[in-house]
Amino acid sequence: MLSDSAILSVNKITKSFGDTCIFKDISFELNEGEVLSVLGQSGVGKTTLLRVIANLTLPCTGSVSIPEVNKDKIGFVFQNYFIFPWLCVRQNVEFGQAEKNSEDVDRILADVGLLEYRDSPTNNLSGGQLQRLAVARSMILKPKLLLMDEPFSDLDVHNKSKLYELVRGLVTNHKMSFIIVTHDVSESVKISDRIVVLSGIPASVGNTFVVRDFARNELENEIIKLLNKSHDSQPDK
Amino acid sequence: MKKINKYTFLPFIIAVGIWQLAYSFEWIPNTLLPSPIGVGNVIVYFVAHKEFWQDVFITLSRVTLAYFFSSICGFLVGLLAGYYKSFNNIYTPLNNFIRYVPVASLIPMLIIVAGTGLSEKILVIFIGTFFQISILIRDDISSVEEGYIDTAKMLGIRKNLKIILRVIIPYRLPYILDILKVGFGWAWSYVLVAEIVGSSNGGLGFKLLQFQRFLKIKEICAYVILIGILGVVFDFAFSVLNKHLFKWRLMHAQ
Repeated sequence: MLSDSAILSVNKITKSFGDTCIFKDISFELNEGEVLSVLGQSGVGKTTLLRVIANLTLPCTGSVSIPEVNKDKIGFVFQNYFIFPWLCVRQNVEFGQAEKNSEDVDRILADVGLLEYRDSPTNNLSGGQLQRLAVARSMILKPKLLLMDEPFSDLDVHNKSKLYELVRGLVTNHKMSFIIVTHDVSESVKISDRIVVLSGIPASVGNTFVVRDFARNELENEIIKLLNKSHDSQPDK
Repeated sequence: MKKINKYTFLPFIIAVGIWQLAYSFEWIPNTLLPSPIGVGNVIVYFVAHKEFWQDVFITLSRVTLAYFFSSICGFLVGLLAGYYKSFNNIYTPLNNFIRYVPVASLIPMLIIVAGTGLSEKILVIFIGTFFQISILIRDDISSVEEGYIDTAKMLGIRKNLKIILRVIIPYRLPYILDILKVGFGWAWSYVLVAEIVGSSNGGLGFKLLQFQRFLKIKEICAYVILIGILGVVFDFAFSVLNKHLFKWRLMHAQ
């Protein structure tokens, strides 16, 4: 069941590949206009968790509850962006839309700072610009929720701060919610309202932190401690 | 497409040089190995006479017709096998078997079944290229990262047919054209084999067989060289076509 303010609820989901259980009993809720980060070591199934939420793969047990009106309002920015190289910037944003509304496209491109590249081929874009194009492409769906997979991994300091501004702008102006999976502790502390830390084998929710309740350094240390504990408890490979 | 540079012609110059030495010092008797200049004169003669071009036209018509069917079928089957694992599981074992049966070994049976006319040549080229092309296209299609398909699904394209038409084909088409270029080289070889073995009505391979019967070594050498040159021209045409149709791909590779 969803609480009143929640736009998504993950209920005890478990996912296995063959005999290997990746994560188990993961539960959390996401509120409207909230930025939630899911932190965890590599290999704990963070991307798979996002794919389950996006209905690109099914969980073994558990469920994801999303109100009917928001079912088609989920955007996904993949780690490698997967921009279609045979299309120009505008065509990438329009992709899949039955009705092409050039005003919408221009507004979205302006939102992400890519309007001047509207008709450019995508190979001219830098890593940060490609990521913003991937965000723009999701925005055409007018999403209530945007899922982002490791958005900081390929960005330099300048582009990280641009991404931070973009996410905060979309939260403020469009009341959008975000789920960001990452292993970058300090960036997730900077950008999020709430942080879910996955730990253990198979991974489960180790702890949830409300960012505003902590001083930044204190929270970072707390999370790193939790992740290290989880890392130390892993059997040697 | 690579540009022509100062080294492009070097191996050819060296090969002709060795050939000239072999002729001058009679490493191979002159009755069996004609001089490069003699062969060059015959090449010029052939190029200036329409008989050679008629042979080119006949062979090219055969290979184009057969390869058209083969590449369409190879493309469709490769596409299905690359996209649908279940189809791949059925198709690949059969393909693995047939790919290792030399086409030449099937020619006697094809002549019995289809005679020595056009059908036999089409079958030789089809069998020789279809199984190779389809498996290469399968590999190419299956290399498409899942993220592109997931992206399309997220953007509302959820039906497999639409994903194939709007993502898989546009993305892989330039690479598939490369595969078809390689396949055309095989088709070009097989048409000559088919013409040499079973033709009675013209074409480059048939003409080679006639030259052999009358021991016209110079003419054989000239035809072999001209066949090679034609191959290079086709290869170049495929590359130019690819470059102009899919400019994004060159930029994507940068």
